[in-house]
Amino acid sequence: MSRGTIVYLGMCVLLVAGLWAILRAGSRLRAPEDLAGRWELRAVGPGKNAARHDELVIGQSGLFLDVAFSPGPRLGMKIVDQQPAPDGTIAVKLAGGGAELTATGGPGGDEFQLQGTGAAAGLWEARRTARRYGSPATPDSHAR
Amino acid sequence: MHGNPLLTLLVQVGLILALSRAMGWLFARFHQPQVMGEMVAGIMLGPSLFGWLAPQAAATIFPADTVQSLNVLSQVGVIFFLFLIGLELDPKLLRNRGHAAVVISHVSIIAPFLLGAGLTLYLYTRLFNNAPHMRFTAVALFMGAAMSITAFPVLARILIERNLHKTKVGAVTITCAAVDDVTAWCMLAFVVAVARADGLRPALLTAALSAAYVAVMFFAVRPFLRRLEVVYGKHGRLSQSVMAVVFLLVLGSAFTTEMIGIHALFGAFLMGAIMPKGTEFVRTISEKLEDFTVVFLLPIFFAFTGLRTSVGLLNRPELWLDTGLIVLVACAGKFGGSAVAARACGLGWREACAIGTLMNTRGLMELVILNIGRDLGVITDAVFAMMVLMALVTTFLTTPLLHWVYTRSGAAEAPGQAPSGAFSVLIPVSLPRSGVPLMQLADLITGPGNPARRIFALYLRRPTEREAYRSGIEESEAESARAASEPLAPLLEEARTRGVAVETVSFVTRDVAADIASVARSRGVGIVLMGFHKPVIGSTILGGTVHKVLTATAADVAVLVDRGFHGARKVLVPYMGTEHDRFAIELARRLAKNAAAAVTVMHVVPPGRRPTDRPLDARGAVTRTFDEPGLAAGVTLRVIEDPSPVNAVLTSAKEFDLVIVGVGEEWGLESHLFGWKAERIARDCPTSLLVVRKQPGGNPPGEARSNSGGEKIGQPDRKEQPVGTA
Repeated sequence: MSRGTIVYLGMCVLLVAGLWAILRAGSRLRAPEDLAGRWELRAVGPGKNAARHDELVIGQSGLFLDVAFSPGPRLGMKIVDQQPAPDGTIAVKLAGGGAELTATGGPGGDEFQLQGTGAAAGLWEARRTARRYGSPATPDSHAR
Repeated sequence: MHGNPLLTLLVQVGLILALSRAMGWLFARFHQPQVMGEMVAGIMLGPSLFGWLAPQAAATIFPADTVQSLNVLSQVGVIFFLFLIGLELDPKLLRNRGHAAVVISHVSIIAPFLLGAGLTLYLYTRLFNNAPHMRFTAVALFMGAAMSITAFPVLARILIERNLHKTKVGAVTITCAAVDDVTAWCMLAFVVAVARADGLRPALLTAALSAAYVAVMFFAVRPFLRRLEVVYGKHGRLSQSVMAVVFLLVLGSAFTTEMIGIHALFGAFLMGAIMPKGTEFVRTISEKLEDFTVVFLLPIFFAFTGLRTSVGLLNRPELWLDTGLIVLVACAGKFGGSAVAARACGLGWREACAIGTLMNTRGLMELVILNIGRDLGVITDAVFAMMVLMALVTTFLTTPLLHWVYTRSGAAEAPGQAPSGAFSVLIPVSLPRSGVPLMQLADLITGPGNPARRIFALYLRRPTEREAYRSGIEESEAESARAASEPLAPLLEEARTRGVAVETVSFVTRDVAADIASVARSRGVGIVLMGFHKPVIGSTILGGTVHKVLTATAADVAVLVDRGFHGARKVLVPYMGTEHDRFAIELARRLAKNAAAAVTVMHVVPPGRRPTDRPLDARGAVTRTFDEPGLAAGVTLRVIEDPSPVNAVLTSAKEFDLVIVGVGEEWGLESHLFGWKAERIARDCPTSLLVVRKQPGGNPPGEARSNSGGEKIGQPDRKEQPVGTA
């Protein structure tokens, strides 16, 4: 058997075994909670700036988020913590751009409670109205 | 413009086409594939550059609500482009493949696929969302498929331009790329089905429908296409009705695969793939479709891709590190996999690396697959931007890397290399009329009836616009023969008359001088004998391509300024003592020997020369060169006192058939190597002039005569008299 054939057979075995191992290992992984989309905000807390923001647009690539309040600041944030609660909800903590946000709600759901400090201080009920925004990502979808 | 979508679209498309052509042209200047420039143009129009530099202007020209029009146009463009790619697919490349090609092609898919899927284990928790379409399985399979892609047309074009398509490396790579092409689109269909399927039953249904669809295409549509070809054959032209039927079939196939759930592009590709190959019918369809698709629609696809690519999303160092990791894994998988497999199959490291480099070209195929992934929601915006950058980097690297690992070192094997001991001449021909005098001179220099001589006639043709995207592999043999036949015809006719065997070489080039040098090196030629044509701009002789050949070629070079050359019975060699002048004397000796030419070596010295002035052993050079019995009688050494060597030569030149002069400051001919200086001797010489340049170590093989064994130029030779004849 030539060296090339051995390499070839080895690669075929590697493909099957490797893909099986990868998919098996990957099935245990959980991607960061999907917060991407357009959110409608309703102020429910005493935060002084809360009433100013009535919409939130989030562009998300995993841990990295582009959070834009309308009207208001646009913040580059990162998910720093994500914890499931005993009641089945999930709490996602975001930090960056001089602000911290905590989103609490059902995993994969479209309704969250949003609590912010710093540059995005306030307490809101957030309801997702669109899962993605700016598709295709046109210039104005990122420049607000 | 606002409120009128048509006006907006016209402005958008106009801008896209203009920038795309400009960037394509610019990149081609730097020896990059034209498609690379067009891809970059698309990115430039998006938020990464235009939207970043002038957000208001970008929002005015590309408002969000009108971009859907571009989307539709780009989708139609890609559908027809994939149909063209399918048309290009030559089953001959897939059949009777060598063992090496089988192994390399499969490993070049498996390795990047596994590495891409494996990389997802790391990226999934960083760059992907827990969204319905981003299940790990779909993401991992997609990333694997995206890493495995190879841009067949771009790769094939690079091979042709580098004249590598006839080499072993070229043949293996083309086969591998064709296999990769088919595999990648099948794999993509599978990934799309997995991403869209919602459970086992729909997945099984998709698989069953796909199998039925492929069966219908092969057993029903293909025979129908053969009948269409017969109709075409009867009429001898492609009627609009037949063209409409072809369009309908493409659209119908795309529609069916989209409905089945394996994406419209697969249908378009398969439709092209099952068309009868190598026929006039397919060539005509291809030509009719190509310009509109490639020139008009594809740039819109690039622009649309650019509009969705926001490099600004990569706003943290860690995201750039992830991008670097993706590029690294992509290269390791494709380049590494192909190279290691090629090495394991017995190819040398250099050839293996060349194959790996070529297979690593992803080009616009990667953009096609990435857009599908993004539309499916399998990848996020940041991953999309990272993968687009990976596609650009891997495509950009191909040409310089290939040059570095392969062609630069002369590793590209050259069929028909001159055997050791043979004296060979390379004649690059640009204009047909210049071929005849060059052939005459080559015959006289190499010696009529000399069995050891090799004469190569080279015709380099510029790539046509049409060839920028298509492989051209299928046509290359016939096309290059056809393209070379006309410009080389007078030369070949002259060769037939003289009974000289000439080997012709012709291929597409983007750099004439570099390719002349490359062919000269690979064929081991002693002299490059070329003509001079007055350039469009300027009037210099040793400028432009001639200058580049003079500096880039390792062989000796002779440039014929033809002023009615019809033979070399009387030859004048002006002598000032340089190595180029000695080379001129050597060529004159050949003419004396082969054509019984009467040679006059003219040594010009300043008037009133003092005994302490440095002599230039003209007599010694002549004596050493014409040392064969019977030759010395045919040479005359004429020493002339004149303050201007150029004037002296020009005055005497009219008595001769040919003046052979070495490049040098003294003759005003070294100028363009170091700066501007008039080339008066070349411009005003009344007879044909052969400007020669001796390259260091460039002695004609097997015919080298010792120039260095004697005294060095400039060493005192008190015996030489200022005036006299030998």
